[in-house]
Amino acid sequence: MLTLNEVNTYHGHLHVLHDITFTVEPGEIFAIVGANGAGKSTLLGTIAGLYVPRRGVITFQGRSLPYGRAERIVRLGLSLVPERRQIFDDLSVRDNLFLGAYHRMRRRDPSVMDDFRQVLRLFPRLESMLDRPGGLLSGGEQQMLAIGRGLMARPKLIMLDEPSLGLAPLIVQEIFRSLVEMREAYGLTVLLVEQNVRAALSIADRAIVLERGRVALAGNARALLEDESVRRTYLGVKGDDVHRRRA
Amino acid sequence: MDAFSQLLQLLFAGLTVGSIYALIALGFVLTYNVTGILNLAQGEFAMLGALIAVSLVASGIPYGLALVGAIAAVSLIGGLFERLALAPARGASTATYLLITIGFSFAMRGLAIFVWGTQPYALPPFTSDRSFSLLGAVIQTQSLWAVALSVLAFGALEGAFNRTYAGKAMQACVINPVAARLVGIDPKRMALYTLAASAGLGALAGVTVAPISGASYGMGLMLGLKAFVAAVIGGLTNAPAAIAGAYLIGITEALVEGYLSSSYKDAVSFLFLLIILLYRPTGLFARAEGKRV
Repeated sequence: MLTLNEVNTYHGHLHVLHDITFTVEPGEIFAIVGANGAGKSTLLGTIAGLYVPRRGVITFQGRSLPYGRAERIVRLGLSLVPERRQIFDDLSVRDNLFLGAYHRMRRRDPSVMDDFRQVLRLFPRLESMLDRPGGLLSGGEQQMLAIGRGLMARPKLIMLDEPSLGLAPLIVQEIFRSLVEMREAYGLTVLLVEQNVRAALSIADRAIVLERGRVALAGNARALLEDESVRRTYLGVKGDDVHRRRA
Repeated sequence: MDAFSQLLQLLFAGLTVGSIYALIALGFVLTYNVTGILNLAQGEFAMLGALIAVSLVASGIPYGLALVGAIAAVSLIGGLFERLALAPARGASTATYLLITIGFSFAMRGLAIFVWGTQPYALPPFTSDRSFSLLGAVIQTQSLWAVALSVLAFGALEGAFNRTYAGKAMQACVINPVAARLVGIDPKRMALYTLAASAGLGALAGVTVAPISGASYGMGLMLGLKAFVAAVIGGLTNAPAAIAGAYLIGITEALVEGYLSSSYKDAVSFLFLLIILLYRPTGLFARAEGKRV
């Protein structure tokens, strides 16, 4: 569904991504894990059109993407829920959600209302705060809003950048459950970037480990969870809590 | 005329000219908010609006249609300016953009001399050229138009921004440009609409002021500079504050002109600018990171 072939991205002179190659299959949850600064966000940003790759090819459903054109890429069915949620603070929850459907609103697509109701079914908490400015929501609610906004674009593949960042463990569980539910209910493909390696690998089908902008490991998520080097580096030798290691 | 009537007269004159500054200042704020560009050619849109209206009226087109046509034509010029001069410079520094807008304003003034010459033109007032008196002060009907239009334009702008989907998309662009792109909002298209709308506001100011003080190739410079000061007083991003700044300048100018000397009139706004830049560089009404638009 989504294929990257030897993708290289630079920030100015800084070579951030080195020959990234992987394929995401339709309907799977694919995780990209790695430490801070490994290039995970740059990778998602490159796919979503925020950065232009200097070399390499990215194809989505067999066609190569219009690199660097975020506003066009979302129309193709690739939606990015960005790091730190990036909701429109001053606008209401309702406005945030409907702006997610921007490219369909202009065509007055009647299915927008269906999607709106479906997002509220997925995140019932948002229903009671539709008129509240997005900026006044809690972190977890903002994350739900950001995911909801991403879903309103009716993507075929949704990319999430660190949805667990700064959230309490219970909320993280809820959000991750919603990702699995999304896949079941919408037939969505999910590309998940996480620092919370254990949580990500336990819901993903397949994953890659990114280290300093290179794919260090790739494979079945279960197998990676058992992998000796992953356990040592990201999970702590005896399965220590990841949070404690990072603190 | 007693002292009170004179004061009232001056206040109303200030309110009138303040309204004109306000319309142009709204264009400044709009452009700056959405694109981050300080468009120093904003005053030239007023000049173009006024002169194009004069020509359209002279060519026999019905008056109302001529005004609307002039505003539409200037909107188009604003849009072309964005496409042909600002968009290609995407990602340039603030100083580069500033120079582009200054260059554009010189070009427009030159073009105006070429087309209309240097002599001033008159435009008939919107409704009647009658004036009426209020507590001893003489008020022209056109002045009422100026005040009403500035209030209306502000109301329409606020309504469009806060009540329509397109307006919210534009707000989204201001609040978080990256997230806006991710939902499919094209900031380039927003910049185009913004420049066209700002130019239209400038043209509206031009056709409104022309029946009061005439139209000539050079009128845009001072109008633009004073509206700019008004926008700076408002902190550049806050529309109501910019309008308050415009009235403040207009009224102070009128009082200085009436009680001191008309030769000091133009100095007022620049004195304001100096004081603001020295003591309140974020604007007179700045709150801690207030809402923009």
